[in-house]
Amino acid sequence: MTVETQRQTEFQRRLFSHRSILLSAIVAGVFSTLVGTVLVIDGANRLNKVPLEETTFIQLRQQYLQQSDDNQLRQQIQDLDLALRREYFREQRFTERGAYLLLGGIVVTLVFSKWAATLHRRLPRPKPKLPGPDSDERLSHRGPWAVAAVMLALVGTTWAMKANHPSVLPASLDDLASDQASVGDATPRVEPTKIDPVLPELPSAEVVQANWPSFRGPGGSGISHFQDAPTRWDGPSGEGIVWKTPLPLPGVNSPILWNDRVFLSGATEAVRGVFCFDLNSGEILWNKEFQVDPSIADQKIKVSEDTGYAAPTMATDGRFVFAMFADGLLVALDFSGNEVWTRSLGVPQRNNYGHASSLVTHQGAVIVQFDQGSDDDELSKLMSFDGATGLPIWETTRQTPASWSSPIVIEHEGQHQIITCCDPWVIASSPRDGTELWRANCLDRVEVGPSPVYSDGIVYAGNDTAIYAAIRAGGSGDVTDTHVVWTADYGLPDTCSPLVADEFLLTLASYGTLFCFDKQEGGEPLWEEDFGADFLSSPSLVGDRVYLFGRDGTAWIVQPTRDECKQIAEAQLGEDCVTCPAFADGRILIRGSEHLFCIGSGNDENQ
Amino acid sequence: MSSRTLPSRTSNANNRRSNVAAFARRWIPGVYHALASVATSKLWITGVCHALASVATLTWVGDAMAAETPELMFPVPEFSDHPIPTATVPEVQGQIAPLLDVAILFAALCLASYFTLVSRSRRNVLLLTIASLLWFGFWRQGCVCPIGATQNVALAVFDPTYVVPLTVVAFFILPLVFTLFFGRTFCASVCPLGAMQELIAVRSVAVPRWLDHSLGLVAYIYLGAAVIFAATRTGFIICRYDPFIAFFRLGGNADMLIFGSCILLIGVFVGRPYCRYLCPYGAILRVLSCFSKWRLSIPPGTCINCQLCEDACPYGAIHPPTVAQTPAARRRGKRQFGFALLAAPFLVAGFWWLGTTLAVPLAQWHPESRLAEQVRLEELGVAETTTDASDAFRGSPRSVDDLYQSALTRRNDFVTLGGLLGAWTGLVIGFKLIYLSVRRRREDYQADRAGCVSCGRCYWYCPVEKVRLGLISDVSEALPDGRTPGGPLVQLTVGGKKP
Repeated sequence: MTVETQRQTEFQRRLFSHRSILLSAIVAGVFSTLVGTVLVIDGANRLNKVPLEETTFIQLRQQYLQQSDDNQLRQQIQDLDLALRREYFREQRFTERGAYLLLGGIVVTLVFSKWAATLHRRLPRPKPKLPGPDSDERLSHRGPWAVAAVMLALVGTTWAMKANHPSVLPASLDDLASDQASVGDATPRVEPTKIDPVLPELPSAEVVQANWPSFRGPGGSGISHFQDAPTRWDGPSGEGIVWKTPLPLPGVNSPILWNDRVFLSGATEAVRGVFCFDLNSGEILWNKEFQVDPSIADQKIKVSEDTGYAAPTMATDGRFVFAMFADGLLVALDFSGNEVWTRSLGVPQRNNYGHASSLVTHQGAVIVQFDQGSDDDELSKLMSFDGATGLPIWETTRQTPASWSSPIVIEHEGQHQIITCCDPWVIASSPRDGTELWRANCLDRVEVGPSPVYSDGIVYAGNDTAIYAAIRAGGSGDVTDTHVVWTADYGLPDTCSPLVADEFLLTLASYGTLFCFDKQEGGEPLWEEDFGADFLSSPSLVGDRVYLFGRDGTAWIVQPTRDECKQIAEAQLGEDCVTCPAFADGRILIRGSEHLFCIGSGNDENQ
Repeated sequence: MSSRTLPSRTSNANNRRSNVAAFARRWIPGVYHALASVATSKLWITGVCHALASVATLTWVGDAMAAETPELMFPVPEFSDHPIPTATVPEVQGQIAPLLDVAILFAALCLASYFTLVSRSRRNVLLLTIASLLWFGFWRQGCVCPIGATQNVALAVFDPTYVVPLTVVAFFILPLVFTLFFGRTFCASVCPLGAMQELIAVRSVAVPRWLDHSLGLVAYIYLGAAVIFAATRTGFIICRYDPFIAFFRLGGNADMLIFGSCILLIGVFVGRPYCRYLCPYGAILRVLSCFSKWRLSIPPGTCINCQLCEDACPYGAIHPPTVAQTPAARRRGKRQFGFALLAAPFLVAGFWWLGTTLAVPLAQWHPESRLAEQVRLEELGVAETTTDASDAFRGSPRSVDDLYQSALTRRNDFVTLGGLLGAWTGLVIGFKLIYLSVRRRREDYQADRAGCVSCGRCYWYCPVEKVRLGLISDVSEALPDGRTPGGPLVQLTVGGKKP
């Protein structure tokens, strides 16, 4: 054996000797104790420490509320905010690293201890037991006394719990009333501090009606407040076209209109944008672009040719405009194009065609139908955000799969309701807190595309391959058996939303047939008219005329009666069209595949 | 809006892993050989080097594991144009992961039963213990576990609107079934909580049996409270007070860490304190184990009463042979039994009454009842400040009267429920007193049916087992000081087993 080999052998013998291993265990144990102690001291120092509750920070914020135009102060807050957050996360990392070290130290201690114990394992040397009572005898003697001690401890615990948990609640609500009378002079309760921002007032219902604030206009009905709209135009020649403006980014959402401004959104895989057009000139007043958040850049956003990255139609509450994109980005801008807030709701999961549900507003809140996934994964949500701040007001989880229908807000017997369609339900929710009011089962196992409409107390909703149902908007719980007035199983839409007029319900199938139902009776259609074109745009009503835009840009203006579909005019846009028009007084705003068109009389200057 | 470039989490993790691997490949052999030359001359240096090398590696790995890209964790600074990170929803696991968990649980139970009862291999039991700790504890982060599943099942039984996942039911049922057939093999090496305590039980001291039995009552009372709180949706207290969940998840609040650390510290000297004195699921298993078809037997053949195994068990679950009672002791035992039988109904009634008086504190475990108390304090002007919960409540459309009514109804319910919990406590105590007064006869060293967790520690010490394994040819070779079975270590009195 060489000296080197002997040296190696001796080293290994010593390295793995019992004393060596035991010493290792002791060193690791001491190390773990030190790390644990440091963590405990550090944790105790940081107990109840919230970075954004630093006195200086709160003072600066208070100061800023009074001097909101002080940019230097704002920068100071921003810097302090950043520093506090950095410090907070530095401390978090310290604890996390310490936890790993402690865990590792304990593992090393245990392994070496076990190793040392195994190397030193010896047989026990029990002493011979002396004659006398066995352990069972002792157990039966001492056991009851020990149990009695436990009973005493339980009684003591009961007393301590009663003493430490007094209740200020009376025995009943009746007693409460008398208590309240007797404590009338007590100190008034503490009201939480609330800072109300100064914001423009919400517009009246009349103003909303005169505009086109969301998908298919006020109430999502597709009905114009105005009685007049052009019937003759020709896109290729420019006849009847007031202006047409090239679109900066592609999209299939429909224009919305507020006073003299038209809003659209568009997006590609790389960029999202919101555009504001002047109604009179068609000039792009501003164009606000949003870059794709790099943190979701690697995530696959599922879209289809029919939806793209900007399918949801924007909405406005008259103070701000809201837009949503296929990656779940929700943005709010003021009418000057300044970003008010943005909020990422996350990339929709397992949504075959891409997110397409349009936004709707109600009393300053923006409502998002965010259906995704399947019916058992609880990914789908209905959400409400404060339009001014973007803060969530409420959020309800829906056990529904992905859907592409848009919500509408109706007022029924003085009560506002959000109506949403999804597989298999038509659901009414309270816009105040999101609680469900009623639901009806009429969309079983379909990919829901058409949005619901409401007229005279009845909600109309349905989808091809399911049924079409007229549901009385009321009740609670499942109203399928009690509130469904009529159903139809023929002439059902698959993409286009229906139009409900005074007498009729019109549904438009994407293969080009318009069906007319008696809105009171339902059942079989009164008539059907085939236009020989594909449709993705929903029908709209101006006065007694129905506007239909085919996918190839051909438009038909018809006048439905009980007996027939009377064709008034046919016009050409000159490019493909899959969106719904917005109506101003005497004008139509329609988005083509490449341009935003304003159709009307060029001499009309009253806009 | 400005943009920034963020490295993805996946690439970070990959980088970290590859860095660790590169570090290990490059430095560890070098350090080892460098230390070798020094260590051969000084033994103490060897030990220090062992630990320092381990700790240095751990420090580096711990640092690498903890170091997240700051931007990823950094929230939106106020007023800035910082792009908001997207809140992505993780992919739903689907059915595969839960089924895999159940399959692994089933396989682990099968293996545990096989190692304990058939192959009688303590080493394999220990390896399975470590594997279970890593999988069910640190990888699955202690959830779902059969102990907590008790609450899901209780809630499903009492609340028909609650749909309990089948995986959770399987986690609850499987260990019970295995216990009925093979004893507490789940506790032996499958339960991550048990595994944690099993590994740290290095210097166990014997707890007197009378103390062991009385402290064991707490687990039954805890079980009763957990069922009642779960059934009323008051809370899942077993999960909330899981002592090791903070360790499994490498983080938790101070209370959890302190509680867990205390249990671990006690566990070094008192074997499996949580299993023996707190675990509510263990309480069920103790009862079922008494009726198990097969169970661990210390010697594979005839016991030679060498007493070695009794000292080897850190859980006090091996009991020596009994001796015959004297007539006086027998009479005293009968009186004690009669007294216990008579006392049982009074105990049930007494603790029922005691439980009814606990309606207020029990109801206040429910967050809504606590909120009602807080709101009432605010209404009376007694509260110094509002809480987040009360602020949120005042921002909701719910009326104060509705909240009070709900709290009062719950309080009334807890009069009955507290009574039931008290009655259950009285019943358990009554049974314990009866059990303690009943005399059992053992002719050799036997594992306690209820208390034995089938860890197999006693195998190594059993001379009969060593003969079976062929390690020795005769049991006398395994006895200290050359004692033989012919000269028993136990001096038996009348009625004891003669050699």
